[in-house]
Amino acid sequence: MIQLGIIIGYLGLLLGLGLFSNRLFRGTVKDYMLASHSIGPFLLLMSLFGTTMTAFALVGSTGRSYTLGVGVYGLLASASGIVHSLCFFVIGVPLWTVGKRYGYTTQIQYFRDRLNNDFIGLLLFPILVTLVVSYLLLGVTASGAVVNRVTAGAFESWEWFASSGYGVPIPAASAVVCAVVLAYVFFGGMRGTAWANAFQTTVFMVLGVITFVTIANAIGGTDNFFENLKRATESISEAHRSRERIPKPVFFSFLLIPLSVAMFPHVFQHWLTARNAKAFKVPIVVHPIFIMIVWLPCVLVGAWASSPISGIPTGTPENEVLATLVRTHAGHVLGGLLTAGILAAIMSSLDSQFLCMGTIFTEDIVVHYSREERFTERQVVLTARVFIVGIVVVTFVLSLFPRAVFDLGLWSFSGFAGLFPLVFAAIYWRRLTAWGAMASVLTTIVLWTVLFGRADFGANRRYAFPESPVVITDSLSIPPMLPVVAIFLCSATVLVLVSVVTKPPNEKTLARFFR
Amino acid sequence: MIVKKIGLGEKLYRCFALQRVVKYAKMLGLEHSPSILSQSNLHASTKIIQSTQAGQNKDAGPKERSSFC
Repeated sequence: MIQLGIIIGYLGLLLGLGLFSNRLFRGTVKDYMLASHSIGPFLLLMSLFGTTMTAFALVGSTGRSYTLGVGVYGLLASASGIVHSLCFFVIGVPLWTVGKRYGYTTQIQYFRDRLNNDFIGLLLFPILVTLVVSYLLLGVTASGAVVNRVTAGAFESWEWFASSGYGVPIPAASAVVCAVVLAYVFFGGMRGTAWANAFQTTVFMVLGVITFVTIANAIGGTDNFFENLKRATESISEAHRSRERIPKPVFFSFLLIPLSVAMFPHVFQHWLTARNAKAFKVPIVVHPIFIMIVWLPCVLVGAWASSPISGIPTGTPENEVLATLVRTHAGHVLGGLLTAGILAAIMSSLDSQFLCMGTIFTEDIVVHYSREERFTERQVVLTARVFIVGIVVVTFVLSLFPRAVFDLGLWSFSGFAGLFPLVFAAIYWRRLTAWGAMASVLTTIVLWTVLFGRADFGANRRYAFPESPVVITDSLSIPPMLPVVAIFLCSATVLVLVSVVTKPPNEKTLARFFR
Repeated sequence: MIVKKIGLGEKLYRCFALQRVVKYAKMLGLEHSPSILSQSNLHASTKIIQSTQAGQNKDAGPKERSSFC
């Protein structure tokens, strides 16, 4: 009950922050969606980092490390640290430049102008929405699971809760988290989201470190922290201390996953909030360090959970490993605070994703296809808010059909990574044509759908493509790899080939984007 | 710069407008960073930008540029 009280208190605090940021709202569309391009370096760092770190980084990495060992850190964290920063610099700064110059709010507006083609928007719209919703599901599912696990047994006299281990039922917890995020996004817009992200990022980083120290001390069992680290690590199997459970082709194909950040619509929106280009400098430099601070403890405690002295039952579902560790090794008060930290990480992504969905629906569909000047600023903001409510409801309903957090995230990221060649070529390759771009997006859609279907819609967690090694010569074969490799390579190849054989873009359009 | 010494590297560098990266680095104020962009590298990059821009002005028509670029 103490944990539940702390969680409720934390959610109340966020609600208050959202309502307060509503008082700073200037009433314009640009302010609601982009905070009037007024975000400085610190807030940009915190909001970008909070947005990119989600259930995937905390709950997913801990769970997967429990199964596969510390190699999980190399899979994503080390590459993410470098690739994310590189994307902020190589993709984020140019997009901010043209976005501010031409008044863009969404990626689709940019691509429509850059390619001088309206249909590209209709093609990108469904894939972006599908991928963001599957990314959203990560957070909604994980938040419910975390609250349920931490409150298990708190309602022993409530027969209604028997089927959920006498804790808060997962759907109820997910619904409350969605409602809180909805409230501060609805009222505060981008400014409220940025402030909430900064607050939540601070919370989950500080509490993450405290979790790590607490769990290490509990598992190690001595008064010396470093001795405890040594004991906890020695207690896990040799396989968990290496990368051996992860095949090399799979390990290296993970390097493509962080490229997805370049095409996240919510990250694009955060980029555009920057006050000036120099505001990017701090996120570019500090982001990798923040990634290490968050991922390293998560991966280590996940690996420790696999040891017999961790107190974690063998066969614990991956999604529940972190919550079970917290519940087993932290006191009630710390347990509640740590749960609030996990929820902070999850909600700091949900808010941006909800906001970007509302923005995309409003700007790229409603405003774009309506007569010019049909809507007042107030009506556009209202439309965005209505769409945000709709997206929250749809996501919540979909979350009632859970999948493993880590795997759902991978499919979402694979799709975004497949769109990376498009954004890179749009910025750096004058010869990119609308036909090349459309063919590339179509290739991504078709391949992603086919492979997702072949993987039983994400249920087959070990799905790889090609499904068996393709032998080319006696000494050369293509091993099974993550589907992202096939999606990325096909998308890039089709983009180049179709662009080269179709009519070059006109110079007038190029002159606007290649100054 | 290494890419300037390698013909193919320079072609790709120009073809993909990668000289813009230097422009973005300048926008961030990174030109003073000794490890990322030394003064000599920056100088060489600036020369490539200037020559590329001059080239672009000359071959403004798509027919005069290679089909890939």
